[in-house]
Amino acid sequence: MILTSDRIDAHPQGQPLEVPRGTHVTSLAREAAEARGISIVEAGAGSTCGCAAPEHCSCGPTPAPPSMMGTPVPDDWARTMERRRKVDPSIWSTSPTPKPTSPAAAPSTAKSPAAAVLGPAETHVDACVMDSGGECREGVVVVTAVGRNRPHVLAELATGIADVGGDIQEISQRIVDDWFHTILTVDISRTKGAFPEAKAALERLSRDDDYTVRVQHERVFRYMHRI
Amino acid sequence: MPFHEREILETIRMVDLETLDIRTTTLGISLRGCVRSTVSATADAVYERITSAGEKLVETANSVERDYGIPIVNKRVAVTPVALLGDAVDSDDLVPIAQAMDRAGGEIGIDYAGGFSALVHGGSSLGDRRLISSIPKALASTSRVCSSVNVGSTRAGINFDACIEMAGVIKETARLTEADGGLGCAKLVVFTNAVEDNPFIAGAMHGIGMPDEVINCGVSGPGVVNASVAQLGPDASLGAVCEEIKKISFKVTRMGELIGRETAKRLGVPFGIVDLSLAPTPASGDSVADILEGFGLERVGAPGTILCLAMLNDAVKKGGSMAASRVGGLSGAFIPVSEDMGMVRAAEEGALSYEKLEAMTAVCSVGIDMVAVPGDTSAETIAAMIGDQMAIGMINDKTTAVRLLPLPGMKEGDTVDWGGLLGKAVAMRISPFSSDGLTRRGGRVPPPLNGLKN
Repeated sequence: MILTSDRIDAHPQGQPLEVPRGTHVTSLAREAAEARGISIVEAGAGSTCGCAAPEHCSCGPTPAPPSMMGTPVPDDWARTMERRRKVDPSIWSTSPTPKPTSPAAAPSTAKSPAAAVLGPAETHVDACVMDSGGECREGVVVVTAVGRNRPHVLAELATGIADVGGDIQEISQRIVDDWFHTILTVDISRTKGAFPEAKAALERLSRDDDYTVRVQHERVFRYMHRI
Repeated sequence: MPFHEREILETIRMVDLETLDIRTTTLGISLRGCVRSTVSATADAVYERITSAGEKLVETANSVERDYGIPIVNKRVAVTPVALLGDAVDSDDLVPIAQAMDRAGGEIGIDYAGGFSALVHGGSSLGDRRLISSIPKALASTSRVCSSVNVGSTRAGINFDACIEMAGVIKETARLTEADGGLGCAKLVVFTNAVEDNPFIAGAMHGIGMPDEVINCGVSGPGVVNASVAQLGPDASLGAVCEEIKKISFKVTRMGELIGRETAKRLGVPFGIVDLSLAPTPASGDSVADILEGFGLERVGAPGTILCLAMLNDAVKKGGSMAASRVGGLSGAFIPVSEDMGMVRAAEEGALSYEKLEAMTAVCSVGIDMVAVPGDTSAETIAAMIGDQMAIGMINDKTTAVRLLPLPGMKEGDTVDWGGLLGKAVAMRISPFSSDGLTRRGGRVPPPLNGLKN
């Protein structure tokens, strides 16, 4: 069943509206309900996800598939669901993707499917990055600096990396004529802030009249140069 | 070091010096839940749907761009062909829906919204007819909305009546947007064999076989390909040039795959496809024409142009298809004239004729794209020009498109400069001989034998 805003408009203001389990509520209907103080309640809902057996529920923020509604969730099905959800958070979802700004769609305590996979929203450093040899390289970035050579360049870079808590793994530096380029692979998985902050802090070392620092995920290079 | 420093520097050079970028991350949004009984209620539902689904698109794409250091030039939305919403409403005027798309696009900060579209290759329904008649006013009263109409397919043949109707729509759109240099026509395209997952404007739409929402990604990179061909030198064989293009296309497409997947993951929506098209921009060094000239042509349009374009298109597909898990959209080499400074130069110098361009469309990935023609070109002639393109697509079982700019008051050789991605158009010479007898017949072109595949 689909609940549209037309039905919300016809419903008495402030009165809860009971709908069958698994009902798809359109986003316009959600907003209309919120505006008119109508709470939408699934019939016989025993948990926030709509499963009939909350004690066995493993749905998290995603409702169970329609075919499983109202029946106990077998363990093997739960395991399959869990595996599939890791691959595609929207799998089996019968509701629109929860939006953080819509209270009716995403209660403040619920994590979005993406957040469930990604972890905290502010952290975008990959949990595990594999190099060409299959080695797991957590939170590794490539820092490159190019500019006119002078004393203390490498020291400044190393100090900047140390200041954000980065761990230099490898260094390569070449000087051609009066110009240098330095490439460092840096583990920032133990940095004090998230990747964007660490990147911004290191790139602030750049100066137009001196040298340029660039920080990129190791994934950029792995995607481009490795199959 | 897990990467050779040559590889790291190559990537950085591509971005900094060779204008490697992701042309677009396009969020496809299904509007199938937005059908209401009135146009205004439908428009409200469309606005609400786009703003809620696309609320985080620009912010997320910007964060991916910042984190990975690969520019994402455009953020776009593609919606279900709006004609599908048009049957049930109480009015023939669907312009309010286009305006709602435009307002929603402004609200979420995107560059373009595609999908004010209809599919009429097998004939038109009430909603299709309403949409087509609304196109000129819709494009004249909005800034982000793009429109497309599919008038033919290899399976259904060509709806030539629709070609004739679209010729009139193009002329009327040019008239209504005359004050903006006929800009409305740059946002209107006529297709045969249109695809459902095209992330590129003006033909972007969210097909009816698509999920609620999906992220599709369109790469770019003519500058990167051009640089790699140039470093081979003039003595490399054609086989060596194709090999080099395959390799570099692989790398460019991998960036699209990475950025598209990451954007989709952060938005919490499925990732769809990478469109591995070489899409030029008017920026210096970002030209498909330059690549063709790099093969050894003095100017694009010279004898051998079609051979070079065929090799380029094929090598891009081969390299790109190995790099992406799902390739879709148009995927090949685009040859828009106004958006490619090398093409503009060739047209201005007389090296590139409209007829040569038509022949090129048989081996490129789209068709007659961003081609200005004199403003007094008749609707009958434009209908026949559309018919020619549709025939090339239908017979060759490929997508072809027509984005013509019959700009009012323009004469052969005149130019109009829109700036930005749309570039500068020069009105090309069109055969003065009439096709009026053909267009007077109208009707439908039967599907070809190669459409019978089951």
